[in-house]
Amino acid sequence: MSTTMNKAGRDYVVQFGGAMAAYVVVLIASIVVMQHTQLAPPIRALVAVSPAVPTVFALLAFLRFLTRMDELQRRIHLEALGFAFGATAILTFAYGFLENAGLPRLSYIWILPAMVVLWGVGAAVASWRYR
Amino acid sequence: MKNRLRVLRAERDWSQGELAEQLGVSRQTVNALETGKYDPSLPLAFKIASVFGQRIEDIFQPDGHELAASEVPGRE
Repeated sequence: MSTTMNKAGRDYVVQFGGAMAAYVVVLIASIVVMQHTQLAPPIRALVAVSPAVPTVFALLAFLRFLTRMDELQRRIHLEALGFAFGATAILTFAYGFLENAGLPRLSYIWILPAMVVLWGVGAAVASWRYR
Repeated sequence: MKNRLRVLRAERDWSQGELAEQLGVSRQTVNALETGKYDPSLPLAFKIASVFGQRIEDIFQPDGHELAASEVPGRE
């Protein structure tokens, strides 16, 4: 790894980690407020959605990291993300059909972990192909 | 595309990591370039040429280049 990449990697860890730490704090605060107060519905919705705000900063950190990668790494992640996008689409549709057949309903919250795992698998396969 | 990166690097006694450092890319990328698994963008190819002090066409040749050159009259 060259110094440039290390710097980009370090910045990413700091920025993404900071955004995730802020997410945890806002999430806990949001849950506490929701449980202990009786808010008007629109305010309640704002409090409930507030943990999504710090995740915007996580997205910005990720996009910055993507643009600072070298060209081969960017290609590897394009292939990996493309695979994760398509495979998640197939998985969620397939499970939707299975729900029609009586399997338990799963929360949307599982879609993100599925995307992340498939992205990791895709990145490992793409990296191996350019080895 | 074929290239002479591994030879040029060996002549200068650089590791893949050292070349990567000079090019501002990862060591993995230098390896993929040397094995011909990845063809560089034009800006990266110019950077490689400048690091080795040669022209791009002296480092990279398209597949079947020798055949094409021998077919052109007066070009030996």
